[in-house]
Amino acid sequence: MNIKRVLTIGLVLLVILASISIGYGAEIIEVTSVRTIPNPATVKYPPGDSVYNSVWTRLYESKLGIRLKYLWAVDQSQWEQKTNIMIASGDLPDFFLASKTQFFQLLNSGLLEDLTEVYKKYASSQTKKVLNEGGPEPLASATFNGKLMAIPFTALAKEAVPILFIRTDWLTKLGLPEPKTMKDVLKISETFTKKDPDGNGKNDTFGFPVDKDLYNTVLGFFNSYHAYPNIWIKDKSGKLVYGSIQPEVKTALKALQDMYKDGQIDPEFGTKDMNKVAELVASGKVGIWYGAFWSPLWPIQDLRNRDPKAEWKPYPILTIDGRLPKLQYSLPVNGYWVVKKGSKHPEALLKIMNLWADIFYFNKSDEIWSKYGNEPVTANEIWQNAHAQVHRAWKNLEQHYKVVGVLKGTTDISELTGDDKGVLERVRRFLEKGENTVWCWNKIYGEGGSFDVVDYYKKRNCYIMDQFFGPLTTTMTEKLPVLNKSQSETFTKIIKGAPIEEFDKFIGEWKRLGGDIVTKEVNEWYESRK
Amino acid sequence: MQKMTRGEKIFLVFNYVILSLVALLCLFPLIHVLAISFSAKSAVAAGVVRLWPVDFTLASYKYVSNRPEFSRSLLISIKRVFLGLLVNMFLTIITAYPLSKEDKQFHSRTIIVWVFVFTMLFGGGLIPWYMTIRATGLLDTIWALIIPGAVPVYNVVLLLNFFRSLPKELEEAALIDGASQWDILWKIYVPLSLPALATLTLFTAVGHWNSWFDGLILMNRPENYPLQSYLQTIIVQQTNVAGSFLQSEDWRILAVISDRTIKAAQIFLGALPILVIYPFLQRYFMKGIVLGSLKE
Amino acid sequence: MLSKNLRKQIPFYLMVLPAMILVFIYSYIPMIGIKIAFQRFIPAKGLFGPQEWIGLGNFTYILSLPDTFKVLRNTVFIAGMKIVGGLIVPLIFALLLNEIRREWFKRSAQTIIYLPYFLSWVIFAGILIDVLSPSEGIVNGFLRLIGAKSVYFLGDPKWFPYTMVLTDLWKNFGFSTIIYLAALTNISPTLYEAAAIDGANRWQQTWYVTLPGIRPIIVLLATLSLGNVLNAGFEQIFNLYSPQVYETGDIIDTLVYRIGLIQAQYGLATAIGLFKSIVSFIFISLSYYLAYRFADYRIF
Repeated sequence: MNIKRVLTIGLVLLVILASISIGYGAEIIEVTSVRTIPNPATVKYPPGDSVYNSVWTRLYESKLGIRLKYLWAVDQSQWEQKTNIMIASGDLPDFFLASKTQFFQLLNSGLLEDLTEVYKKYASSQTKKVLNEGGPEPLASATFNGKLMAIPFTALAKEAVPILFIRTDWLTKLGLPEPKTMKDVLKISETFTKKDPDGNGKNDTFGFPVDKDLYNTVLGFFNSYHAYPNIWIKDKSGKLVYGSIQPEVKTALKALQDMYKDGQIDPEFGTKDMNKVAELVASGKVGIWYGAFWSPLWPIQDLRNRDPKAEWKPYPILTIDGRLPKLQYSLPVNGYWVVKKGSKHPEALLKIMNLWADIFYFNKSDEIWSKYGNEPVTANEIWQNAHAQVHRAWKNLEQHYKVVGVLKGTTDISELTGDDKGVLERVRRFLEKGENTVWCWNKIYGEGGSFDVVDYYKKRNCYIMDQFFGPLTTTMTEKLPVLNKSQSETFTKIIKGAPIEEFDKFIGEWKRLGGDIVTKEVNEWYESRK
Repeated sequence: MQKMTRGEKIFLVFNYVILSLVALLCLFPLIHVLAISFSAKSAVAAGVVRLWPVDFTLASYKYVSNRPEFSRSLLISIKRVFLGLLVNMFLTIITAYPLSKEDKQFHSRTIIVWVFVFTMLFGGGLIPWYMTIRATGLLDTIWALIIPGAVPVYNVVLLLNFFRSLPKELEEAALIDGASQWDILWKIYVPLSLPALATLTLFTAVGHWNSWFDGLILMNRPENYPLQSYLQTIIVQQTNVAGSFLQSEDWRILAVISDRTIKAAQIFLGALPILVIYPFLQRYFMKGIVLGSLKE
Repeated sequence: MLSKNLRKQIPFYLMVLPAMILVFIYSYIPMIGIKIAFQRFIPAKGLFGPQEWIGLGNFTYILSLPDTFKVLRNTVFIAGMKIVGGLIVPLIFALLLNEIRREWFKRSAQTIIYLPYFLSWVIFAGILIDVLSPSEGIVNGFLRLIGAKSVYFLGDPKWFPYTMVLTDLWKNFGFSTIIYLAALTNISPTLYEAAAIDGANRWQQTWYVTLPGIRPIIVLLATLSLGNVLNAGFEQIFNLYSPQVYETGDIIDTLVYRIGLIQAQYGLATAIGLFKSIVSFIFISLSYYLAYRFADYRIF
């Protein structure tokens, strides 16, 4: 063996080895997407950073070997416009979050990649847990002919159903017991209106707040009467019917009408949107509120800031007949993550999603949380920079269990994720230091808070879901605006005092104006899914 | 100086009173918004702020301006207004002048005027507008905010009307002296139209300053937003609290986005520069500043 | 060899050229989008893709809705009143301001009346809801003071359209006032002096000197504002209306908006836009023609 030969062979081997390792290191794939800009008031970037270049995008590159390029980022308010323009000009990125309508339109135009295999192969068990936690419907809604054509952006829905909040310092002041039935609630509403609970000698309080669009504030009230407006429910024969024309709605409307006549409802409710109605709470003019679990944060905390003695308590919705309530909700999906057909790396979406799920929901390291989740001192919500998000259906409830568990000593703090610890810390600040500005966190997550009610609902399955979540047909897009307008006008009129028989007239009109056709089409869709 | 009749004196008093009332009426909403911008969030949420701040705080202004995006977008807006004024006013002037001539002097003027007016009435919608701007390579540049709207037809029509009211003898005399139309425009017509030009300058500047939609749609990167576009991103329209967007984890920032004081601060910071500049432009609205020097 | 006449016009052609080019590119080329009005447009298919042509389908759909006539009526009524008010009120204020001699007052008033223009309707609406409230609003407080009954300005269908017109004036009259003021400076002071010598008092001077002096601008603004006969003010009405006033307050744009909420429909929105454009065009052309035919005057 010639020395020269050995050296040559060695050199060649070295070069080969080097190029292989360079090849491995340079295994970076580029993927394009578009997104909304996080609200600047909640996210702060160190100099040089932006949503395009953040800790998250750098993490995608370093940990996943994926260079995520945003073609553009736009404010939330213009998202739909801009994405529609993008779609119409044929500029689809590799993947992005499409609305329900956009998803169906892209699907029908054959522009989407089939994700069935990609999902099976690349979705981590954590991601799968998140996507399935709220039930099988989200994934089912994205599946056609057995093929998964998008990843649904699952959201919390059952956690956000209405809860009945009542001002308990007023109950005490007026000598009222806590409500056990709906009749008690009605009595409380009357007393709050007439017996001057804010003690200022003026007849300026109301029992029950209503907003001009009705359903934001009144949905819980309807559900108390087993009325389910605006959603499709099964009737006795198993067919789908529209909740707004069922007899229970009539009963609930009559009750509201009586309350209005009695002065328990603000006569100016018809011109007030949610912001204005919320003023009634914040200024101490109402003592009842039907809202989601976050209501202590908004609007009640504003009241607390001005009146630290005000106390509110959440109750499960009480029903008029004592039966368990069913709270209505719609398909818990915030959109669909779609991948452009022919995209070179469809699995990138899942990989990015897996990373999100891990860091936001399952990771227990404090360090990772303060770097990628939330930096508490500056209140920097860094997690908003993460892409391909999907949300767990029951995270907040679980957080509540953990927080209460730690406070009671039954849960070990090591089981908490960074996010959990953030909540715990705020609850503690209220309980131990009495900081008024974080009262709401305890009222949501602590004992006796919103999530006690959510837990109550969950254990007894107090839910009824909108049974229709398919694509809107042409007829539906034509008829629904008319039907909705008729409904809004009629319901408002009735509450303000029109004879209750107007409701029966409304049913006839609804059917005539297209409701019957829509019902037929909804049922056709329903049958086809069985 | 004529002596005023009794009737005229009464009218004068009446005039001052009416105008003062109206001015107060116009001032009041702004004072209210100003008061909100300096009040605590919860006070505003309770609806107790009227004309004076409740629980005075500078928090909302800090929120809005204490960010690098604020000063950056402010500079972009200033640049935009400056460039926009140059381009718009220049084009308005040179376009309005020929169109202010009569048919016999400029045969095609009526057709051309209608070509412009037509564009004020008819449009193809957002999608083709966007695609055209993209095809001409303007996206993500400051020119996207200036070039597509470079010809403000309404202003052109207003200005041509002002030009028309100037005496024709001026042009005739200058032509006899051998001046070109270009000279006549810039040396005679423009100096005599200062009130109109001042008005149009104000409208143009305000238009560019207040415009936010084009910035949001035509800029791919938020770093390129002008001020009002940036301010829009801070205000989330909370039209439906129970709506779908709150089904996600975003509910946590409800405390911030329900804050109306931020909206109020936005209005003020947005309107302030114009309110400061406007009084300076008012000099040009004064009567007879140049007309007096005119010899018939 | 170009004729002398043509050569004299070359500078004019050159001057309008830049604007013509820009307007061609950025206004005329996008007009191709008008075709969307005749399609059932689906963005996913692409602007030039295989969209479904439905002829007048979008138009017939709107006409088939039960409330279309009512909505049209509301639109024209409110828009019409706004056009008239928007001409008269600023003019009156311009004339009043013109009579003021103290410069500081004149300048301050001029600035102040322009201020409400800067508020967005979202904010202004919030203020109006408070101010016009039957129970707590100042306006009704004043009414009660003089013995009248409270009026639900925003909630009573009978009052709603007028409320829209008046509040819109409040917000926007400053804009046109400025234009009139600028026009007023163009009137030669010698004309006033001559009139005064002839024995005219202030009223007569206003009638015989001032108004004729700014007639071109009045006519121009009137004609241009006719183009808005179907624009009743979406931003304003959207922020102030509610189901209880749909009867008189629902306009074309709010109707189209609610349809778009169910599912964005570009075809329908473009069709409505086209319809409005055509109506505006007809009104403006008609005025232009009439002025030319009967007064030998070209409005623009």
